Amino acid sequence: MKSLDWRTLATRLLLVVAAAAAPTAFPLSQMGIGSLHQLALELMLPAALFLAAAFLFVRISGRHEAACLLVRGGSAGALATLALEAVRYPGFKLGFMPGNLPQLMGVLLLDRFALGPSTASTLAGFGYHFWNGACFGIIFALFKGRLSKWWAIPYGLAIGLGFLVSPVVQALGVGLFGKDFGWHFAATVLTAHAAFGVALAGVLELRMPSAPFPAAVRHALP
Amino acid sequence: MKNRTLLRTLVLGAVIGIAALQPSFVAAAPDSFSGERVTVPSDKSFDEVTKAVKSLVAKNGMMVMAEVDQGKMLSMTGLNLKATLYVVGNPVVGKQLFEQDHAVGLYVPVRIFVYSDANDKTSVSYDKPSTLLSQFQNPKVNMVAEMLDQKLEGLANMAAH
Repeated sequence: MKSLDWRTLATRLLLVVAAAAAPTAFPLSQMGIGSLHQLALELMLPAALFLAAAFLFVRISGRHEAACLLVRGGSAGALATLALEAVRYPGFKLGFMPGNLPQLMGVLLLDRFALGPSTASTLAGFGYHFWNGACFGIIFALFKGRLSKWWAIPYGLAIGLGFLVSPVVQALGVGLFGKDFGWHFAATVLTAHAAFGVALAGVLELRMPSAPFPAAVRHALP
Repeated sequence: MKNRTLLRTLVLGAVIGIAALQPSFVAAAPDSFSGERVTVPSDKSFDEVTKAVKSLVAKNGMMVMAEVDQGKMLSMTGLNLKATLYVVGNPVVGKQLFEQDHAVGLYVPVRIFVYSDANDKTSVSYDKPSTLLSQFQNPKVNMVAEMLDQKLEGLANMAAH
């Protein structure tokens, strides 16, 4: 079994830290460590730029495996967020959720909570939501190694559990595990994140066609 | 003749008397209420208290929905002031209140005011939601308002001490 050298490990750790910036920003903002708007400018944007620069660097320096993991993980995570939405959105419409979380993230991102959502803030919120999915996908791809892709399911559930005990649920007024709102909140969150995990596992190792993707994407894939 | 004059005087006097009493009738109308302001003084600095308020809001089941930095705003007039108003609440509680009476919007989300006085002593101040919302005479609103009282009391005391 091939073991990773220290440079590869250090590179992956750095990439994981950068990918963790965006998903961490919302809980950090609810702990009072800056507003989500501030953290978007001071944490999320620099981290995203770092990831983009890191992708170019590892490609140019010949570390094709790392480049591939970034692209595959990010794409798979973003696509898997669609599966999460397939559970979350109906859950919200049925009253199982206290509100439309991507819209809430949007008004916080654009610092217009008191004005309510606009088209731009809703797009920003969903963009952040899918970017979070992409980042979680990158983290899983970097950590997965030779583990079965189906570890993505407990991984997804762990993310859901993390959300249920985060400062976000306290700020929403639903309490830890949604105890002040109803069992359906935790059930919807966990089911949605399990769906994310299933989809992430399903998409992560799909063989991609060689055309008509641009050369940069083709060369990033195995 | 004398009796008619007396009667006219009495009727006129009664009309004038009733007209003079109108303001007191208006003052007793159902929309009147008195809010109770709570002020919690602190030995901490203004920056420490505002930082504490922002970090404790979530722990008390609320979010900062808006922040009005009167200090910075009024610095444009040359006034040196440390004062920030936080509008806090959470959508779940807001929904419960607005479902009962849309007029609660004048008082919800609630406001927390952090300021330093002329001696640079910082205080956390708010109007008790139960005293503001009791005017709606709605048991569900009163229940939620009392819950908000507890949250604000906890938040103000933790932030100030």
